[in-house]
Amino acid sequence: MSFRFNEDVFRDNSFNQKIQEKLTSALNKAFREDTSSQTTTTADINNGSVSGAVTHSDKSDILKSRINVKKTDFPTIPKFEILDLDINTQPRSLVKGICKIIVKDAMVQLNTVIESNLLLVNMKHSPSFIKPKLIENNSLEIPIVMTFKNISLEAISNIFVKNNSISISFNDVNLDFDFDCSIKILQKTIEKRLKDSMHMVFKDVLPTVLFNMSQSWFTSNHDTASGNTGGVLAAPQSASPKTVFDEVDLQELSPKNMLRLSTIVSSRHTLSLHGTSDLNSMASIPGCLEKQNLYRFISRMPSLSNYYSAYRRKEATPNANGENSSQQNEAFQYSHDDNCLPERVLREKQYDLNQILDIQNKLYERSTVDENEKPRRRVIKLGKKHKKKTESSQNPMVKSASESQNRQTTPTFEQINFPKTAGAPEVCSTPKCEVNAVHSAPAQVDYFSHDIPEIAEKSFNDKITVARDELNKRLSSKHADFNDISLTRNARINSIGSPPKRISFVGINNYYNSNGWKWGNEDHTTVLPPPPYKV
Amino acid sequence: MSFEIHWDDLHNDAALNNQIRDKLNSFFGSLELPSYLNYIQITDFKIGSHAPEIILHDISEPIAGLNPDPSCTDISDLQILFEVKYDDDLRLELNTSLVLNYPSKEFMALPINIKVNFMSLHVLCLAGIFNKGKRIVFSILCDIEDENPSEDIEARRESITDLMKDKMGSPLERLAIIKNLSIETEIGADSNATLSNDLQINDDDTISELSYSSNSNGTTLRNVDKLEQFLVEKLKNFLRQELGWPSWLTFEFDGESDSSESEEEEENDATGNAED
Repeated sequence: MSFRFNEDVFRDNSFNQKIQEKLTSALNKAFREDTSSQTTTTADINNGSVSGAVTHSDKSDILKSRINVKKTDFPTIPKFEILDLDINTQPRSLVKGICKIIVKDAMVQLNTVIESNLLLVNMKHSPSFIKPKLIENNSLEIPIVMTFKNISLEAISNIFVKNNSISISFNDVNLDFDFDCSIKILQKTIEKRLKDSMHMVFKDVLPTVLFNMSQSWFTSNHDTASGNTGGVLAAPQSASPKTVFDEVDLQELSPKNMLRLSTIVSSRHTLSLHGTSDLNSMASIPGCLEKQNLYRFISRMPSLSNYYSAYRRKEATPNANGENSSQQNEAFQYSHDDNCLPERVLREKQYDLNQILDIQNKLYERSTVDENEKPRRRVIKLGKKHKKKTESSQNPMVKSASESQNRQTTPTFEQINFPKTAGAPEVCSTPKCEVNAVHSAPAQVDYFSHDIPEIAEKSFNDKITVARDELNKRLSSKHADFNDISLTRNARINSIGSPPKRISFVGINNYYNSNGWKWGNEDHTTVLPPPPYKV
Repeated sequence: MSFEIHWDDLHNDAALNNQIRDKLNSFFGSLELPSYLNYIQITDFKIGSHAPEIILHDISEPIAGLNPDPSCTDISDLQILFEVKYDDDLRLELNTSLVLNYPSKEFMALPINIKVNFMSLHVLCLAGIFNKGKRIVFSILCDIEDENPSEDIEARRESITDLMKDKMGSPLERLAIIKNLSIETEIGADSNATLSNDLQINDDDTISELSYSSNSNGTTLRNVDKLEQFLVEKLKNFLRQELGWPSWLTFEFDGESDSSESEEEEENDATGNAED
């Protein structure tokens, strides 16, 4: 057996008592509350074992007392074996198991009182005109004792444990028992009906009961689970229609972007690609990254592997040979899967500690789901007899802020891109512009105006327009592209000296524009491998 | 190698292995386990046959922010950057049991046996020593890629990446810490004698039943790939969360103690907590 049962429980009869209690309460649920809730219906079919002869409900009219479980006996310890196990963590946690359940020699004895007057008519809910002529409504109650002996159950079941529930399906059930009824006349019929209804019990009733039970367990035990259901419940309330875009909002969107979007929409309607031909691909929308190109973006993330790519093993270094370039490319991609510092860097003392820390910090910021999540910094006190762990009291965020302040010399991801933007050829066409670019250095150029919260944009609207006017005055009027560029406060973009923030997606298009790399659906073979990350 | 470690002395020292095992056990005994875990017991522990390589790279002034208590900075504070390479056949056998407390307490238990018999890591660590050695901050900065990976390791890695295929394309993790860890699992208990007797008496008609009872090992599941993978993943996540930069562990020493011991402790803690 795979599961080990606590033998003491079986030996000292406490299990029998427990199961007797549980059975009694379960069987009488239907008797007490005559509602059509799920638990009632399930208990109802459990009652099939007792009310046997009665096929249609209203068992409360047949059963005249509660069902008492007089005796239970499990002389042999049941067996619960795991035959196979499968654990999935993605996309969500799920444990699948195939189990075998064996119960032997069990005995259950029930007694209750039944109504044996067959002429009894229940007229509670029926109109009087269908009332039969012959009515004898004096009840004749007969106590009945039913004994199930030698119950042997052998079942193969699939068990799924999901986040907060357990579901079970019985695949192969062998159930056998000897049935003994105190009213011999009924014995045959009841037995037949019971055995007939058993497959129903295992197919439907037991799984539902167990599922509901498991859900109530998990939700009562774990706050997170209850939080989940709370979220589900809250959803319908907020289902009222919401206006995403107002007319007013539309005016604030860049007309060029709106034009592009409408081109794409219309091309979907007409299936014509003419209008979009100049767009090349949808990915050429600034700031948009298609899922299929995500890996390229990831491969360009600053990581130890690409920062020190020159020191990596030879299959990782890109080769100019055109023929195997695609293979090389794959090898290169693959090698990005792990973020490792090449050993040669250490051997040749080429490492830069601050750079390593910086990259790791960035990757950490990216990996955390919650922006306010703090790195764990536990304190372990040693030297005392008892060792205890305490969550570090000080605020690590403040500290890491001071860290980044101290490491101002190390370039950050954003910084790398900034000079390129400022020095982009179109801006530099006149010497005047360059002066301007330097002059406006604190104000960063941001291609991703969608990122900016609406309010922030509004509040800076005035400043932006002023700045833009100033720029336009200095710039030659040809540079229509500048309409897309909005100027924002440097505090928002620049992570140096400000509290740590996530990496913003500044820079894809800079590379795209200045170096000719694309992020669209180009042919795999023509794509240059992403260049090593460099300062 | 910066440090020479007389590993043979340790390796052959049965008393030391037992001592470590007992210490670990007492640590697990002191933990308050969740209700679904009965106990955690280490039945076998043996340190590997090769010493970890520790290479010292740099001793310098601590970088700012590393000291958790900036109020007491000292001129003697220092920071050590070192590399640890461990690639060894250590052995650790761990027993635990999953319990179902329904309908009565500890009604049903599922024994789980976990054997760890190989571990490799190659990492760059940073340790800050503050307050005259009374406070030590330890963090693992990054993994190091082996210059000349042995074929053995390469083959193992292949098999792991095969299993992890569905993870391809997800953003890269900043740290793995444990490059390789081989875990063997056993789920379920062997059928014990009295029970199998009961079985044979009562059961002549089902063939499957007989085949199980004839097998003295019962239906113990061995080497459940997915479970092993799951455990490794949990352990990695735990280490990454607790030790991977920018997280770190701080050890406060009240008495006299040396740093090597602290590392030992930290590793123990890690294995312990990874189980839940």
